[in-house]
Amino acid sequence: MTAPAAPQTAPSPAAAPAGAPAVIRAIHLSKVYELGAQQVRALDDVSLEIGKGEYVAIMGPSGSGKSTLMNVLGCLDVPSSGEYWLRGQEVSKLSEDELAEIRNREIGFVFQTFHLLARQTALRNVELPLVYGAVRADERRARALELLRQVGLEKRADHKPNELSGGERQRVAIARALVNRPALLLADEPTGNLDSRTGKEILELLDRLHGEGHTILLVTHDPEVGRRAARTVRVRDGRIESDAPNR
Amino acid sequence: MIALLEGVRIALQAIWGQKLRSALTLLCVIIAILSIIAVVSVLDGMDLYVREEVAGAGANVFTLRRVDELKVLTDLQVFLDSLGNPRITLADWKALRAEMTLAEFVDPLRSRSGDLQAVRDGRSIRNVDLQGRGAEYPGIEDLDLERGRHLTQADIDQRREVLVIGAQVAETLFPGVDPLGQKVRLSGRHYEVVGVFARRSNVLGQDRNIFAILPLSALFAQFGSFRSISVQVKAKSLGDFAAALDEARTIMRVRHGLRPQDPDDFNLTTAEQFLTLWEKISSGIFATLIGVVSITLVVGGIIIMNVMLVSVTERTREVGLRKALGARRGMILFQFLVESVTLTSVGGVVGIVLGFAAAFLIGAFSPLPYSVKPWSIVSALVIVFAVGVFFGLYPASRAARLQPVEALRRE
Ligand SMILES: Nc1ncnc2c1ncn2[C@@H]1O[C@H](COP(=O)(O)OP(=O)(O)OP(=O)(O)O)[C@@H](O)[C@H]1O
Ligand SMILES: [Mg+2]
Repeated sequence: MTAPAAPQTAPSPAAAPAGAPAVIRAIHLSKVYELGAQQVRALDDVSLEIGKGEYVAIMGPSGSGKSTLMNVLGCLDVPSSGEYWLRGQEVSKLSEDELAEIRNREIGFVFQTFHLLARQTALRNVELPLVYGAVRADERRARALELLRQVGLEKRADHKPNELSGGERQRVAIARALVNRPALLLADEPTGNLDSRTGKEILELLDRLHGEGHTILLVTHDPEVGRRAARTVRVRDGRIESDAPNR
Repeated sequence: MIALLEGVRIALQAIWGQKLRSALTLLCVIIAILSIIAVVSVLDGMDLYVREEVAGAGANVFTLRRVDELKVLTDLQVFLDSLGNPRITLADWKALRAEMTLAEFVDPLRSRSGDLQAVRDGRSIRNVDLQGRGAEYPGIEDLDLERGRHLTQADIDQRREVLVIGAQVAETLFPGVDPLGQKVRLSGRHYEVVGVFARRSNVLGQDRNIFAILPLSALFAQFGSFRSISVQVKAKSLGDFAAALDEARTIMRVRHGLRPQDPDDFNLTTAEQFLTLWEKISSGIFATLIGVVSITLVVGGIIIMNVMLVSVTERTREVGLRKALGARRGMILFQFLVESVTLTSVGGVVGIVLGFAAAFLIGAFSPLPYSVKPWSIVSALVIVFAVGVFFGLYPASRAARLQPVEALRRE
């Protein structure tokens, strides 16, 4: 089950397709939480490189730092130390507002608990990144509808989240994550709150998106889910334990 | 621009989504603004009244008195010193009338309070303001006749026992009867009614119609002439006013044998002095009012701040999500500021409208006058807007500073 540990002192180019430009280059990333006198090393010297069009699964036991890694890569959180380059830009040096813009343009995030706005229709939820990207209303609507169509929910555009099933909600969330054509799709246990059949639908959607050229990072507990990706990164105690292509 | 519109939209939805809370908040703001506006317009109304009625009518009139009672309020020492001043006598009045070249009218005045009784059927009225006067008072004071005539020089010279009575006196003593020619008993003597004054409007709840004017000579003949009188002087024109004042002062100083270095031992009171005093009093009221208003606004602001803090806490996850999707700090700040400013401004506008309605009702159903000034509307709006921004700023900036991960993690 455990693959041989990859070298951790340098970015591991092991699985990156040769010649493809790196979307993610993380160098010696650490994240330390201070809890009173105690220090929690949620990320401990993590180096990682992910190329364009890759589909990578991040696996590891609970509390190993998977979510922390995703949040740092998604610019939702800042590392305590280390460098993070996203599409050739050093993110760790950016201001708060520049980060907001990166999150808006470069990153689509899918959460385990969906995080849709309860009072808004599916369409409005999908439009939201475009609002903050200052896209005109008619174009917003057209693009949001197109994305809803791609996830098979064009008929549900005017439904509120509580009128949708869990799987449908997650598909709305995926449509929202993709609507601004991000360079990177991050999904932290996107099937964690769904039953296995609905979960499978979501995974099939992700497979399809990968086939269309999206770069995808997926956190999961489920080895079966992990096998769908082309490459698996195993995390334990905040360190990368192994990093290898699947089969 | 698009993000700003979104901010406004979110804010309005937030307000609409919490109808009860928003309504209660609005109510607080409305009540605060309403009471402020109502009080300010009534105070304004009083000010207007004082300026027009009291000062306007007697603009070029001054009064010679033994002491100036207003000094009790403004300068107690001067007042106490003036208690030793000699009496102002009928002779002083006559001297002023004879010697002044810049006076148009000069009239003596001595009032006392007394009870009047209709001889005809014994109806009576108590505490009537009885003003002993000369014949020139109609030129000095604005007193219109309803019927009959004013006092004449002959009434004064012959000490005739005649009265010109106020409208309320006429109504009380002679309901349904023509008062002219009727006899009125004043402390045992019979006076004849020769005129009735037109009704004057009430001011500050005071009925200004319970008075009667009679010849000062008759008043003195009945009650004795040992007390000081005052003399009202109307200058020929407003331009002569200062000179007329000087002329009267010189005449009085000569009559009292004062040397150049002695201070005046009499008092010349002008409407301006009264106005100055009123300004002192009303600015005192205004200062107090501003204090009360500030407290009200701070309390209202704290309520707004509290409501906004709840609103921010409630929507922490929403804020985290919006930031995760690319909302900048400024947009989150704006969204919550719009919410608080909308609450205060809507409350403010409604409060202003209701406040003026309240002031109007007070004006209609009570003796208090009122006036609506545009500046008070404008400043109320500006203040309300500022309160919304100021007290919304802290909750809004708290929301804007949230880290996306932490905000999303919260339940
Ligand atoms: N805000 C925080 N403050 C303190 N410690 C934290 C914080 N967030 C995470 N941690 C700690 O960091 C470590 C990694 O947490 P993380 O959420 O990344 O784990 P995970 O791999 O996603 O776990 P799971 O599979 O249960 O989701 C854990 O030990 C956790 O307790
Ligand atoms: Mg996790």
